Amino acid sequence: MIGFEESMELIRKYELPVVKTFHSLDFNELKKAFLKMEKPVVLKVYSSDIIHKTDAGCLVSGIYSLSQLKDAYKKILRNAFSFNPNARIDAFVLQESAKGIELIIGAKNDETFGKIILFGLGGIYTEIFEDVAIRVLPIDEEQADSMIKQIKGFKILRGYRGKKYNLEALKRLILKIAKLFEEEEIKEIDLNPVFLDEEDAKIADWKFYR
Amino acid sequence: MKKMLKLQTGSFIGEIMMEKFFYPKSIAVIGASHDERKIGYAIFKNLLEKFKGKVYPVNPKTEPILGQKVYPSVLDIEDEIDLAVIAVNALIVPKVLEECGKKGIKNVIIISSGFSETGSLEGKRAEEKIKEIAKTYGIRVIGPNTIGIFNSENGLDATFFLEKDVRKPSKGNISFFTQSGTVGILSLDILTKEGIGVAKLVSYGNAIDVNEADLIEYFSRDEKTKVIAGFIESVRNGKKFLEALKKSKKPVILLKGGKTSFGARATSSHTSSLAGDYKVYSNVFKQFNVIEAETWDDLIDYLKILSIGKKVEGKRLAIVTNAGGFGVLASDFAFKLGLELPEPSEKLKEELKKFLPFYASVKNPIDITADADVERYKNVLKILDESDEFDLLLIVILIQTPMLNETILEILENVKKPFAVCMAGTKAEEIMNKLEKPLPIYDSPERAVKALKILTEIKA
Repeated sequence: MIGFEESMELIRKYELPVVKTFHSLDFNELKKAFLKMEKPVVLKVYSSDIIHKTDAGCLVSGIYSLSQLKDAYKKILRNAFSFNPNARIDAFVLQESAKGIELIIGAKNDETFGKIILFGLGGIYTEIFEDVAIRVLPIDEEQADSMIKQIKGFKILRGYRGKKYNLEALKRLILKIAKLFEEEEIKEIDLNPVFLDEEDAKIADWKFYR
Repeated sequence: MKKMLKLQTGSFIGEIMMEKFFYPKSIAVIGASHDERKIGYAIFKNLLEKFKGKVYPVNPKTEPILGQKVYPSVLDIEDEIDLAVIAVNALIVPKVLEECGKKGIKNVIIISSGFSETGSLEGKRAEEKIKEIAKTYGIRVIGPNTIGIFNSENGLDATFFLEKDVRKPSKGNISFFTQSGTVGILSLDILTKEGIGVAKLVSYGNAIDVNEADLIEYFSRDEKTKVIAGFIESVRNGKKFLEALKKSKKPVILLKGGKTSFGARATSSHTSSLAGDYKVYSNVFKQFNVIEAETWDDLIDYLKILSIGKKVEGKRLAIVTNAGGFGVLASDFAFKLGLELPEPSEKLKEELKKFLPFYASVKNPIDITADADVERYKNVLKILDESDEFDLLLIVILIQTPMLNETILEILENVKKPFAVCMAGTKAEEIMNKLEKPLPIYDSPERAVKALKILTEIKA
């Protein structure tokens, strides 16, 4: 996994939409940022040694107050080192809560067909339904569109009972990730979850592997 | 001399010379046997009886086989040889392959097994060795470990199955490539049983040289081939495979073996665990307009309708039936698969009513009732065939009613729109066995509907 700063550079370079994020190792800095953010927030760790943050107890959501933030910080620190005493922590990441449906976008090198991109329902559905669409790169707009329409979950994405999702934003994001993966020396990408609502598609958690 | 060798090595993976596998003027069968129970006997017999060209048996024991003069080595044949079929013990393959090289033979099919497919180190080494020899002499190789190839056009039946055991198809427009020999030989037999003709069939076995990409490429250029079908377990060269698919203007239909994933699930990222081997394949098929047959039955069903080669304009299906129940099952399944079942316009309904009793239903399904005779089918189908309100026809025939007999098939032969027929039961089977021309007849409403659906998936 590449370092946090480097991941932010990629995000800026490709203008990837991410949930409002602040990061630091210093608790006082986090505190200052927290006061300016919309509550509740999420606090989590960014570390190559802790890939699955939830499993390691290194992600706390629903933080409204400073005391909750402090508790979360301590808890994550404790859990991180009990999970892996040698864990190297890149940053503490503070994020505003995102709304919408959880999706996954990924990319990897397939040993037969080369660079592929993947899109599907995220969160717990990722593993239960394995409802994903895959394409070999390069892809055009039409292919990105067909990926979105291919998954079974499209019945949700196309809107129901007044709920709407910005599928244009989702398509743009898929195309940006495809471009990034073709141009950069990245072995694998895992964006999970990506939140999609009526307004926008926003990445809440990102992992770039080299 | 060295320079020339290098040039030939370069052409080893080239596109040229594929033609000679299917259209040689002369064939040497190395390992042609005197023993009727041996593979080398069957191959030689098949070729001798059917191939429109010269066939030379090669065996160190030179007593005649089937009355033909036997040559101890290919090097003893004075004539030029376009294709060699090797069916000797794996241990002797390197020696005879080398002789093919010296003779200047550029196309070789290695039937023999005992190579990498055994999983043994010796097998792998032996395969490397024959690869080297082929490279050195610039020989294109199909195999090893194959049941051979088949070309209906010129009687080139280089398989080791005799007609008494396996029925061989008549001329047709489907070309089939298969990694598995079993699938190869059974497809020949079963396609024949279903009345489906075949242009060419290749069992490519271990694919040390010619692989699925070469064959898709060749079949897309081959004039006799209109539909390309294949059974694959894995793809040797992904990039080349995708290129071949991109270039092919013909429908490609594939059945993939090895769908269950034994890939490591304990990978760290979600992407890796989600993009399992088969998932990637089935998505690649979608992306590159390959029709995926999920099962062996599907493959045969789809080939039956694809071989007829009708173009589909849309998804509007009309169901004509003399049997209510099967009409309902067909419409349920058509709806489930996303086909449209519009009701005929008032004008069309009036036209249909002219030939129907008052109690018939002219909605969709169009129920022409159990007392329908051949004439009624003929009139109704003619109207629907000429109407621009439908793209596809599904004709359900309960052939068991006393009103009907096999003359109904003559009417089907004249239908112009893409159609499928559902006709089931013992009587239906008896009639089907008498079929001279292939007709897309299926023994269940669901199979017939599924076949029609596949037609709509072909990108023009």
